[in-house]
Amino acid sequence: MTTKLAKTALRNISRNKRRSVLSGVAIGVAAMAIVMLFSLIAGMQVDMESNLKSYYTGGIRIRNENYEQYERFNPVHLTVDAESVQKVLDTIEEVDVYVPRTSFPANLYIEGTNFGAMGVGADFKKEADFIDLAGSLKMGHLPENGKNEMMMGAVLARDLKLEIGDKVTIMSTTAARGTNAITLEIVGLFTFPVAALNAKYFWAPIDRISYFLRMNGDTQEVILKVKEGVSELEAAEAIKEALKKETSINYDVQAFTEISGTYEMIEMANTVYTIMAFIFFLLGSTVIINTTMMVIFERMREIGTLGALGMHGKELVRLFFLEGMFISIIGTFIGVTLGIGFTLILGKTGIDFTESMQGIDFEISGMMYPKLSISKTIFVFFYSVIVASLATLIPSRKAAKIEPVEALRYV
Amino acid sequence: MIAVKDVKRIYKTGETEVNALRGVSLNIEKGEFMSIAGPSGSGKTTLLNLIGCIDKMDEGEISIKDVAVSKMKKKEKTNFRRENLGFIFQTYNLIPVLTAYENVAFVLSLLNLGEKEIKDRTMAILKEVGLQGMEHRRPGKLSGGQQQRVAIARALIKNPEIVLADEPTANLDSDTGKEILGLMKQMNEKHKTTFIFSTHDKMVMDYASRLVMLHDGQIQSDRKRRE
Repeated sequence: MTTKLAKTALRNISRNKRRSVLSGVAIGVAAMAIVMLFSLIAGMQVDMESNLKSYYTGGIRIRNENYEQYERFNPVHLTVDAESVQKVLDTIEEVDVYVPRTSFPANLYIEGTNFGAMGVGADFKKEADFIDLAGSLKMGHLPENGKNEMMMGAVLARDLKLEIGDKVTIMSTTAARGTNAITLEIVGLFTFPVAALNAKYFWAPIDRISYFLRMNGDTQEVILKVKEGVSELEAAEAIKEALKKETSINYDVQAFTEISGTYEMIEMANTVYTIMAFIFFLLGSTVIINTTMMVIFERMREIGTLGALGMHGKELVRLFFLEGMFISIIGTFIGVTLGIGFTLILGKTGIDFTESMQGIDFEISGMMYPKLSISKTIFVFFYSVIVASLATLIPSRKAAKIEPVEALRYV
Repeated sequence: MIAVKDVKRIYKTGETEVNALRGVSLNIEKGEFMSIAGPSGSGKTTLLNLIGCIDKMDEGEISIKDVAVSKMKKKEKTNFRRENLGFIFQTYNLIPVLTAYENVAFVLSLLNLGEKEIKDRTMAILKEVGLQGMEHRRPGKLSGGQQQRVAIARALIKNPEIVLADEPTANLDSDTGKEILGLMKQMNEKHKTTFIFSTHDKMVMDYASRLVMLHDGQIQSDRKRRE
């Protein structure tokens, strides 16, 4: 019987092609939008994770235990003994690569005017294993350790009308809580994926920065990446314990997921968008409810005839359910396929948010590459089919309750 | 076989009440070829619907084969119709997306019969009603008379003891109507199926072996035609 009902349901779809197509399109568009939304969020998360790990916090960040408490005062005196920390890190199997860095606020003194910027002291030899700095260079070359050189964000250089070869005097508060200045020559202009880094930052050799900030060879932090498959949260715990054991210092060791408020926000947004996407689809499903209601009114006499011939209400419900399910399967399949197609194309070409991201201090790249999640896409497919099919139950259950005589009388 | 006892049916439209049947009683024997006639609004379709278990009465009792169908629940009535009753409608009421074969076979599918039995019986009944070679045509590709033949085949396929036909010739020209009536009469004689029509068509009345005239929801006359 089910086969017969399925056959009839399938043929019924073609009775009013335009309406069936409209219902399928509504479901398809909703499914496509959800697939693309999830892909965009997934891409955003992957991008942010990559940016955080490369340019901001690493996978795990090691700092002086009091640094965070006084962070707003730029406590460059609260340092990490990079040498002893690195010795411990060398013994931990989970650690893949690490680099020392010092970030600090600075004033760039240019022709009598101070311009605010952020400096990063980095070991350019070690950084080569950590991130592809050379690949981010738009012009010039990387600064060399030991030299008074810097590379500057291309947007910052453009805003300050600076070029390669220009020398800039930098002023900042030192670890001794005094003020110091150093003149660095711009040898390279970089373009990182994150717009805020290009508009605010300059990078200089960490040894020169340590000297300039009177940090006695120490650094503000050591950041590291763990090996593939290792949990940053678990590794952070292990590193903290090892550092305490080996150096007797209680360092502040945190995974990037704990540090970045934006990442937490994205994770929260992920949940919110997931709920919104499903509500959005429920709204899309109202189209199929409407379609089924119209179909029921149109076929009222047929419902009466089937009832008179001895078809039970449950079988009638099954017939309309199957019709809705077929439309949903076709609509969802096309929608999800288009969603996958667009995601794959955009995953290669990217979506350019560079202009709109200017001035926004988020760890998100200007170019966004949606990332397809197979499991979520499969889930969306089944969710869409199930919800849209179940939506037909609302009107068809009502139809099943109509007395055959009333249905037969319906004009 | 069918006992209708003092059946009353009132339709309510807002505050207006229409007495469609005002205490109708009659007995119908097996194999009768009977016509319920009367002007519009006389209650003939209502009586047919009540015998067909697709409507509820307000008072009275109907029993078919000693089963009080008027006291059955909705599900029981559906099962009863499925197994014992055949319907023929004025507008044929075929499922437009199904072929002639499928429209007829559908009734047997409801009885959960095997595919072979369904096929054999469907092909046989379609041949009997003169639709051999038209099995794969959909209703839209059939004439009114051919569609009504499909409807007759659909009503008879499960070998019901009773077939209820509501104005079966009303949408047909007189020649086709005559053909259809001849076919139904033939089936009545061959299968001993009880046929009950509602009609206001003189030709149908003439074909019937028993004619019950209704007027204002009451039986005005009930006479058997001499053979």
